[in-house]
Amino acid sequence: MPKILLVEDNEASADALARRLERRNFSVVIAPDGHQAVSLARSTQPDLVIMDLGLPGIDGWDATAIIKADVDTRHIPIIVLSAHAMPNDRHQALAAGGDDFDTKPVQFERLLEKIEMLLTTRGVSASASDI
Amino acid sequence: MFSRKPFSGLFRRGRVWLGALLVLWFAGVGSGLWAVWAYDNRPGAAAAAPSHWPTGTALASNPSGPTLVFLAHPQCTCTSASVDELAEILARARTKPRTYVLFLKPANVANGWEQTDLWRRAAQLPGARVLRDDEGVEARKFGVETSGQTLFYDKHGTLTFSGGITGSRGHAGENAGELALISLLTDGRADRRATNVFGCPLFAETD
Amino acid sequence: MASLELPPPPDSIALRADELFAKHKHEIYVHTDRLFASLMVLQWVAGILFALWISPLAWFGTVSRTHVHVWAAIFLGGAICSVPALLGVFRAGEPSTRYTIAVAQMLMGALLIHLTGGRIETHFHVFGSLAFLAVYRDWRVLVPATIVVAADHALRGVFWPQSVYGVLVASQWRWLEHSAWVIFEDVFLFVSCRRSVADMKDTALRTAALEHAERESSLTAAQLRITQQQAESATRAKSDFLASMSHELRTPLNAIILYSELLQEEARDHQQAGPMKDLERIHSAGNHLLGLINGILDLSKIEAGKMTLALEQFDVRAVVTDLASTVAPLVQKNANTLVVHCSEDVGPIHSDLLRTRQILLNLLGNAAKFTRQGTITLDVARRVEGGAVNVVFVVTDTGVGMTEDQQRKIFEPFTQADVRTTRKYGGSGLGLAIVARFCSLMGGRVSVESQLGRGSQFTVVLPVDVAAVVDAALYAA
Repeated sequence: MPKILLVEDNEASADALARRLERRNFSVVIAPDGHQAVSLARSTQPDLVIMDLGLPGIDGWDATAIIKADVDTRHIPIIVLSAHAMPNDRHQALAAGGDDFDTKPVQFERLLEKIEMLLTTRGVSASASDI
Repeated sequence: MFSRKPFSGLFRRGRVWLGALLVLWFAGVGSGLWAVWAYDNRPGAAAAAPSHWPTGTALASNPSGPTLVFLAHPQCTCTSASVDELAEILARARTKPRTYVLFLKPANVANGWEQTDLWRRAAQLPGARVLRDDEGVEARKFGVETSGQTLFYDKHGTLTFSGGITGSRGHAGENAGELALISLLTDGRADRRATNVFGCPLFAETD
Repeated sequence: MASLELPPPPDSIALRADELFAKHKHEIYVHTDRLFASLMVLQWVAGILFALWISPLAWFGTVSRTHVHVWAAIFLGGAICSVPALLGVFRAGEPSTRYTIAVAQMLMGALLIHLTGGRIETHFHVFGSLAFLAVYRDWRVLVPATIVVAADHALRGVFWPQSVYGVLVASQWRWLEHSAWVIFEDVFLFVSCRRSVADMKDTALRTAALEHAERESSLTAAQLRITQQQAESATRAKSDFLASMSHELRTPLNAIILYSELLQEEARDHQQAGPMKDLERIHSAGNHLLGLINGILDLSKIEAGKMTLALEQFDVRAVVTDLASTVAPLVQKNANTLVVHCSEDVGPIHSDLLRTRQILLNLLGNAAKFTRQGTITLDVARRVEGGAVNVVFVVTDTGVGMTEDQQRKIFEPFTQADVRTTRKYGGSGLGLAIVARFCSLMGGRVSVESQLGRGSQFTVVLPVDVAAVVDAALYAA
């Protein structure tokens, strides 16, 4: 099953989203900050990263940039999540190397669509089967 | 003299010094001016002119009218004013006198010594005969000692006026002598017979 | 120069004017002192030259000596000129300096008259000197000068009366005439000095007032700048607040909505019907809260001037069709019917797609909310009004309608038609406020017509090309 690295510092948000994703047959790894995001990306080699922007320490922009700069991890698609949702954020996220962008609070179905699209283009079989 | 800053503390003293200096200065300068004025107003030796036309003079008196005899030191710059006054007198006189202008030529001087600007100006006076007085012979005959002395003899040959025709040395402008002569030549009378004469001495002390 | 009719100046200006006047006066004194210092030297040299030219030698028969006048010109002249010249250089500006200069000037004149043999032209020196002394603009310097001239005449008149004018009778008139000339000039110069001083005072006053005004205006300018900076930093603080609040509010809401959805899914999995209704309520409350938060944040952004438009070209018909299907459930909820008339030639529009959708969704949603078993009509057409090309959207409903009073306030934030309406119909009272502001941001307008009990009609006019109508600073193309 496809592996998703979820970078989110808010425990409740992380837990809720992870469990919903797991119900859709994704395996989810949670990184609570930017540092761990980078190192976990390297070590676990997920199929996709969902990156929250409001992180302590290295913020989401930089973590995205680092992952994309690293030879080992640059192939991994990243969806950037932001609670601000200002037009600049979309451009900034894409400029930093993000592959897609979405807003918080999460609209789950919409997020799923984006995940599916990115995984398909990478050629990873996604079982987005509803239960 | 005193620059301000260094003396601001001693301001009073500085002021006193300045005041004293200015008083001294004024006194000195005043005295100096006084001396100059005194010099300018010191009359020359008066003439001991003969009261009647002297005999033995080369000049001929005028039997039909007055005669004016004017004696000058050709180099004396003060006499320039006298010449101006003479011109003024002759211009304003109703009766034109026979006028002699004598310029002293002492011995032992170069030729033409007496041909000065004064001579040329005198020569332009209307009706004036300008003569050279060698070695001051005529001057002595008339008893004149100072340049600018003017003598007025009436038609009878009587001395009516003897004096200078400037107010002070080298000083042009209206003066008693000029007015007296004009009066004489117009009305035949004057309020004075003599005035001070201001000019260079015709003869040095050694002469 | 007419004097300006000003109210009496405040003390500060008057003081400054006095200061400026004193300074100007002093400058004149110093300048003129220096001038006279040079003049003194010039006169000294002139005196020597005159003496040498007019009376260089005094003769005693065949013996000549340097004329007394030459020595007088050199030494007496030098003495007369030296002290004032030095004072003029080293103590310029002092009263003692200029009084000394005045005295020296007239004494020099007396000397020069003597040296030049009383030439009439040299007498002009007296009148010229007085006039020159008036350059000080201090009439007091004329006093010692006049005294010296008078004393010179008087003393000579006493001691050498002949030297002055000759015959005594004539002299009295002469003396009077000469005095009259000098007095006339003195009076004239006195008046002139006073006038100049008055002018100087006036100028000083004006300059002081001008300085004051300039200082005030630069103070005002500085204050303005500070106020501006404060306003800017307040705005920045607001935006920062918005940015952080946006994040803070949405994060927990994210958890609430996700969890409620998750629990609903799990309950469905385990076929637990019990908690479903409660979970639905939680979910609904969460979404409601989200709507409110978005509305408030949008409004705040607009108010702070931080709302930017994202312009793009899109087909109006396509958007309208899509919206119609989006609002279908809302319409059906109250058993209403939706009728859409979109003319064929509406064409594309270059505007903010998101905001346009938001506007229409809001209006249609309201229409659906306030109508029961009625008809909601959406008319879309392209209209040309006086050189401007617009797209006009008209949302009509057969719902409860509004009173005139309610119509007036409807576009203000947090005023629903009625507090009771909020409780009955739900909503936040923000939707129409945002609609109105979005419309104006895009260079358009919104208006309402309504009849209580019969229904309402909302008209939105949007320009076809927002960029042509709106200030470029507002949008990012």
